[in-house]
Amino acid sequence: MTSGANAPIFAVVGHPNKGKSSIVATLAQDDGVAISNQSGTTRVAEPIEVKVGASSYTLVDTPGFQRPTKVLRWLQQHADSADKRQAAVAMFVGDALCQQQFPDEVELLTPIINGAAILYVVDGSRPYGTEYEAEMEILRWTGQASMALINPIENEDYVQHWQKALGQYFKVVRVFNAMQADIEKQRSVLEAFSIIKQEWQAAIEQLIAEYQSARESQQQQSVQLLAALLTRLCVFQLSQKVLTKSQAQLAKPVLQAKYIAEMNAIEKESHNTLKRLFRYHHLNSELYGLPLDDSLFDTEKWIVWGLNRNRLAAAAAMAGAATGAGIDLALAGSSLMLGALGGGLVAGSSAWFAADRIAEFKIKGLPIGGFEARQGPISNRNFPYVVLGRFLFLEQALLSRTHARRDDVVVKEGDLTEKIASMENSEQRQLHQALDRLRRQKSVDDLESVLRPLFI
Amino acid sequence: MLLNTAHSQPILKQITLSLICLGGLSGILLGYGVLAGDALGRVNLLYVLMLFAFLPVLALALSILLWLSGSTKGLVGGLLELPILPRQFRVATMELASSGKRKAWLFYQTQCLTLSFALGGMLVYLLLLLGSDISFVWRSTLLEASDLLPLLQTLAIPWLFWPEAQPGLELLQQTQDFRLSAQTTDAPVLGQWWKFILAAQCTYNLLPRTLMLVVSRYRYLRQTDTPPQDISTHPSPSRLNTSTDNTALAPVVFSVGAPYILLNWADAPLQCQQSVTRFLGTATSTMDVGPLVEPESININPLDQSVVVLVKSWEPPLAELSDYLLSLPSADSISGSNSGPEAAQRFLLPLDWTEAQVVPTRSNHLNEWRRFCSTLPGWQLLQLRETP
Repeated sequence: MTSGANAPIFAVVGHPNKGKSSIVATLAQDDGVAISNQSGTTRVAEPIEVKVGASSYTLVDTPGFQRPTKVLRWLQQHADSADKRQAAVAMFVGDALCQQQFPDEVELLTPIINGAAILYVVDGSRPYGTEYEAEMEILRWTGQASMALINPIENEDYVQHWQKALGQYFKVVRVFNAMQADIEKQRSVLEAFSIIKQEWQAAIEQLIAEYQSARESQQQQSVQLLAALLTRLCVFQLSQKVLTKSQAQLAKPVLQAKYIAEMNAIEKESHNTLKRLFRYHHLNSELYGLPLDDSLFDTEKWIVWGLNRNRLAAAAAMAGAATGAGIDLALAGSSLMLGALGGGLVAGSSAWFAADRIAEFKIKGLPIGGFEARQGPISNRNFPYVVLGRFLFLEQALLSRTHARRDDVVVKEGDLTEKIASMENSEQRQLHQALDRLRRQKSVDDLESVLRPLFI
Repeated sequence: MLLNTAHSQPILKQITLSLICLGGLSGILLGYGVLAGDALGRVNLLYVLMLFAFLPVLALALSILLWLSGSTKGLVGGLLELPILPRQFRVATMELASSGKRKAWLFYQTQCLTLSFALGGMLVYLLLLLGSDISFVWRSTLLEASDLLPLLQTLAIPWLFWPEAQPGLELLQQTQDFRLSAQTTDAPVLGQWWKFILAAQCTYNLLPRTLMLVVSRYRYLRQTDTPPQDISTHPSPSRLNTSTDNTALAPVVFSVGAPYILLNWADAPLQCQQSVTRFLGTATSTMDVGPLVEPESININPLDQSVVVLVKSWEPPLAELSDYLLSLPSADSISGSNSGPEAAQRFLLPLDWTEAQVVPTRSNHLNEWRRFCSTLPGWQLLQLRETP
């Protein structure tokens, strides 16, 4: 358990507007971190504790350097040898006048003086400049474990220049694109720190293991979500009880509109849940309406208490059989169960043939029978595949983007054919059978297991 | 969990309630059917044991066997497929099946059904004991009292601590009944089996079913529990750590009206400086400046000399630059009045270049500088009209 005082702390520092907040958002896997094109977005050092299972670590998003040259000159005036440099930085942070004159530097250096390791961020798409040397020198003076991340915001044109310069100030230099860094890349940053800061090695190794299990858990929950979505959409039906067939026809447009709206809402809610699962709380996804044909409307005559002719006959047969069985019991079995058999047959067939007349009975002037207008369930063979394709497309999009990105996702059907083709033959067969059963309103035991290979 | 079966929970609860009612009612009816006895109030002890001990044990064993064999139906599964049930019931169980939870749920429902059946039977038994005179007898053509005793003694092992509820040979002999012979046994003796039957009911029916109910409920709930968030951040990062108080953009100008001095804050290469002078006219002088260059060291006549400060457009403006710009001598600071447009103007020129060639400044970079410039009194934002 790496939480509390033993948990690693990383201060993300650098020039303003070089992607510090983007890197915090990506590493913390949280799109709630403020990111702006304007410099000076981050005004105060904001610690964010990232809990991964039982482990945790803290990322401190800091303001950028504003007066590094003057700060370095101040430090040089207060430390005439290398052994006094760290103390000079501590003195600087604690000095009331410095806090007034250099608020940004005090804010960003405070967590480092308190033990945070340094993640120094630069933009690899822009040339190296000597103006960076003052701030790198200040960071070197803190004596903390440090790593430089080259964030190629627009391109990688100057990455090599930066590597040459940064290598002189930092033990580890990595290229880390906050907009594209996959899980492996993020993990490699943590791994690198376990090497340069030995006392955090065990904690970081545990963190990496927790990240792995968190990823597996996300995958498992995605499968569960998809299974629930597919089942729910395939069986969804709306119905309305009315007195006459013409009333049922009148209800058709209302039911159709409601059905389409609710089907789309179900899918959207599922997609939103998936986004939350992957910790995207502010991501907008564009989703086009589901392809729902308009031949899903049906009217059926219902009889009593919502039972149609078949169900009424079955209910009557069961009641008759039960009554007959009671008579059989009373006769101690000497009737050879003819009571149950006969009772079932007579009651069932009576109900079947007299269903129409039963429907015409009136209680207080109102007939007990009527019609049921129904919309759905879906019968299109391709429908489950469309839902499946869109869900997998979104899942893949979430996996392949980082939490620093602020653009929308347009959900498409994706290349499901290719995905299915990559499965084993038996898995493909199971999938097709399962989706066909769902379409035919049959239950599928453990649909999650059938869908799981699609997520690998 | 997430979306999953949350919406079908009310229906699942309805099913559970229906099964509890069905089980309880069946227990009451069957229990009454067996315990009501004949016209003389005689109840066959073996039938009672069959209903309250052997049948429950058999059903329990069957239930466990079905569970272990991986069966996804069972008694409740079969009941729920009856065509007279509402469609919602089937849909709710379909969703459970998809999520792989139907098996655990059905097992749990089976325990609800059977426990309510046991409770129904127990209720009838206690009520009849209280309000009626039940005479327990046993009848058999093949078995003698001595044959039956070992079986009953074995059954009674779990409640050895309750001697009054143990079977005895004498009691067995006294309660054996032959319908054709006249009743000879004392009535109170016929009622003595009630403790044994009560203990059997508790041991072989109520107790195991309660235990199974607890286990099955735990297993089902564990499957439906919402898993804890695997990754979380504390506090939840706010989007409020932002500065939005400066959104005004300074206007862009394209020429300097007077002789000017070019201050190279950007460390721009000579070729870039030459590009600037091609557009703006030759500077009276050019100087490299930086945060540590004292403004006093620059020879500026603020009354008739403009200043152009060259900065890197892609680098955001720092407070260091702001400090420097504000410390430069201005016409106002000397004359105390506004000078004419031809004199003492201050320009900030963000410049972008690649391989020492000036390129157009990107709009997002330019806007950053325009915002910055709008906060500096007396400073204007300058751009070259066209790149060479």
